Amino acid sequence: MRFALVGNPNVGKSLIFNQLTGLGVEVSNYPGTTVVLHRGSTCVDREKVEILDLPGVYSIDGDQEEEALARTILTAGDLDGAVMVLNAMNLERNLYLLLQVAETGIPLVVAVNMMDEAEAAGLEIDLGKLSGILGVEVLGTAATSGRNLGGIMPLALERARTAGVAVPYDADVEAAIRTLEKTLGATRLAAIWSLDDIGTDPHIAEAAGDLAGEIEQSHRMSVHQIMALNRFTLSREIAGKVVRRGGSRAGIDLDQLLSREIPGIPILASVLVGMLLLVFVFGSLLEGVIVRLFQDFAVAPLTSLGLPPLAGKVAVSAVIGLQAGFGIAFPYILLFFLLLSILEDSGYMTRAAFLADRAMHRVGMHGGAIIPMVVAFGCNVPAIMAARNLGTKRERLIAAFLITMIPCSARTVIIAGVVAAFVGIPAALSIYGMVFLVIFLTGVLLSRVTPGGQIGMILEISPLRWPKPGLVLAKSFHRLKDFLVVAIPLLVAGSCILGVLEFFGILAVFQDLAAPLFQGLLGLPPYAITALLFGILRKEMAVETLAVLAGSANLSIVMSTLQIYIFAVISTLFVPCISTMAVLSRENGWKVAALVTLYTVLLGIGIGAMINLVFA
Amino acid sequence: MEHAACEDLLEAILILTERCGSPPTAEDLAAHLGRDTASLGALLTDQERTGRVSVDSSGKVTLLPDGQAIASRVVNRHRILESFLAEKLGVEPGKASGEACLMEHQVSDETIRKLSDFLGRQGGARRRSRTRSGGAGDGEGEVAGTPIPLSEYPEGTRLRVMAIGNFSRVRRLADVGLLPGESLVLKRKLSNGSVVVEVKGCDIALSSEIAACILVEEEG
Repeated sequence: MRFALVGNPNVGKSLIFNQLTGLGVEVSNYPGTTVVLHRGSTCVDREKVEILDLPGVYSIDGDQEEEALARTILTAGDLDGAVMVLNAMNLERNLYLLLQVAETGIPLVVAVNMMDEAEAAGLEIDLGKLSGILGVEVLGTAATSGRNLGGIMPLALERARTAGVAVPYDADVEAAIRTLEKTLGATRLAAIWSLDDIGTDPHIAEAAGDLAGEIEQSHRMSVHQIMALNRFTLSREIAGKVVRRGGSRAGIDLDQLLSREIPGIPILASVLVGMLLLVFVFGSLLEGVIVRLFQDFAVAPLTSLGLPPLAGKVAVSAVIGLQAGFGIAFPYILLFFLLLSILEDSGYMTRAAFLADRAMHRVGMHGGAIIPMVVAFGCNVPAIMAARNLGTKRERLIAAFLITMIPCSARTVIIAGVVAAFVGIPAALSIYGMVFLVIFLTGVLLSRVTPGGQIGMILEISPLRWPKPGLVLAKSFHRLKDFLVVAIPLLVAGSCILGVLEFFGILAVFQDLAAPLFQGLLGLPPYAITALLFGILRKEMAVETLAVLAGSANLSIVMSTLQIYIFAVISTLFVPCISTMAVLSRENGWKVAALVTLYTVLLGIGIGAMINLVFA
Repeated sequence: MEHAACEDLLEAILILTERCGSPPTAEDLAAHLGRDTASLGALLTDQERTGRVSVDSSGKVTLLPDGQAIASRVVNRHRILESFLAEKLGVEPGKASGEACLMEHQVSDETIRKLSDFLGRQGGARRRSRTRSGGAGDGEGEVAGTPIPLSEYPEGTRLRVMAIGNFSRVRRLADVGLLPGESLVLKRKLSNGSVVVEVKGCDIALSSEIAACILVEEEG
């Protein structure tokens, strides 16, 4: 059995999916977190049920990729049904999508989610009546507290059926539908979709195009608009019958502050800087403690053990790798993910997108692009995938290019763990400032040279919510899992290999070759190039390699502050990691990936050399 | 032709007086009509002689009751024709205004009355002409107020979408409920023209170029 979860963006589909399947899918309080299709499975009465989490859409007749994906999956015929997730707070617009999905004839059950919020807001929803009108089973749920979630799949398996509502379209549209049905033998759905210009049969589409042209002339509106109006009329009527508004509690409207230029923009700036400062300050406290613990209880005992030279070298390298991973990387990543999750779940990001719209226009995008760019602070890989949501090819290209330059959590580790800890917090902030400036200038440049048009921002502002501690922790640990499972073993393995290479003098040969460039131009010790190269595998590796090669996680002993600063600038700017390149090349083509590589290498080395020239 | 030129002149005086709040000079009129001052001067003297306008010592031109009546009638005709061309026939707005300029002098009173009835019927509950044309209307026909862009209104206004310009093909707009006839509240307007509107119970943020294309009327 196979079911799909369908719903508007930000109605809690991903949360329901996670609860049902036990998988960790990113959940946020802003539209468009799910861009790829997530699959998972659950067991109902010993039967395995596969669940697909479709990206959130407002309709299935749109021209964006996620809408086309939803359309294809719903009509492909290999689903046993769909679970429509509706937002109780906003039934009218959610029913609009339901009416479209119902048109496909797929068996449905409906989960009216966020019942808890609706109740708190004084909305009474008559679920029985709704079920009667729609002709399908309706269940009230609250995903954040888990209410009724267990009931969804059993209900879907047993009672999913084709909805009994059909949208009465405008008389002219209905006439056109009948014409297509009679003359070409089209199904009602095919006729509707063809008139809506999303039909798949070229034969019907051609005839529908002519009919649609006539209708548009007499109505002075596109057929899409006419049909949308008809659907909204019905969904408003249904919502009017089942929703009763009780006394609403008027809270403080924080948007009086957040979405105005003043004090909104200063607040936005302080949120960003405040977040970084928290990461720097508390991260370095933790870093100091963890590095010292490793030094006292692992590195020191190991060196005093008197192992044979090769084994000793490998063992010490492995421990220093772990020390760097847990001491330097872990504290910052942990704090960063926690703060990012709180920010995302609060719903603040859409306000930031609104305020940043003008600035984003300068770099050839619109405010909506802020969302993938903020995702990029966590990791560039999902951010590049999220950039798919942007309207045009030009916007996607510019966004993907700029995203690869955004300091992700791993690069934050380098900036926070190395620069903030050993050079100072103002220096660390200056790297962010420099990187943002470079990103902005690159964006201005790209917006001049990239062909194509752009459509502006049409973005739903998420409601502000108090982030739930449980969900924030769950999300942070889900993100952290990748670091623990993939990065740490890689760090340890990489360290061992480094130890061996160093032991046999291979690294020395390599570093001698690169020495002139590095020492002359950048003023860095030769082993820094090895560190930078390892950083391409994973950015945390840069720090870790440096620590292993320098023989200590306390970098201030072996490098000057200027060297540390230059090293951090170069590794932040130059070549994003391997996984980012892979995803970039898959999404935007290898040419773009190659261009990004070339550009960032030149940029990193250029700026590094410049700093060295000025300050050395 | 002479007749059309007179009417255009009187119309221009009325429009410029309302726009600037004070009577225009002959130079203002020449610039507005795109004519040279010499030929306009002849025309003005002519109108002054027939008692339709008066020119004071500082060169300001004001309409006398006779001229005012003609001007109001022409302005009214222009509005009706323009809104018919643009809204019902789908002629592009700039062109509709230009063509209305030519047609307003020839078309009969009866046709105008019928067109006005037709527009009123089609518009349904559309409101009467708004303040901008308030002074000019002397009871002759009811003209639909011209919808203006969303971003021209102050925050907190309840508005009704009348038309969506260039972005009518952007499906996302229709999907979130931004369709002709929908009412919305302008919740936030930044100095750069970006707005947040509440539509169908949700706050939707729009870039300035999109907001500028959503033509609305104030809802009573």
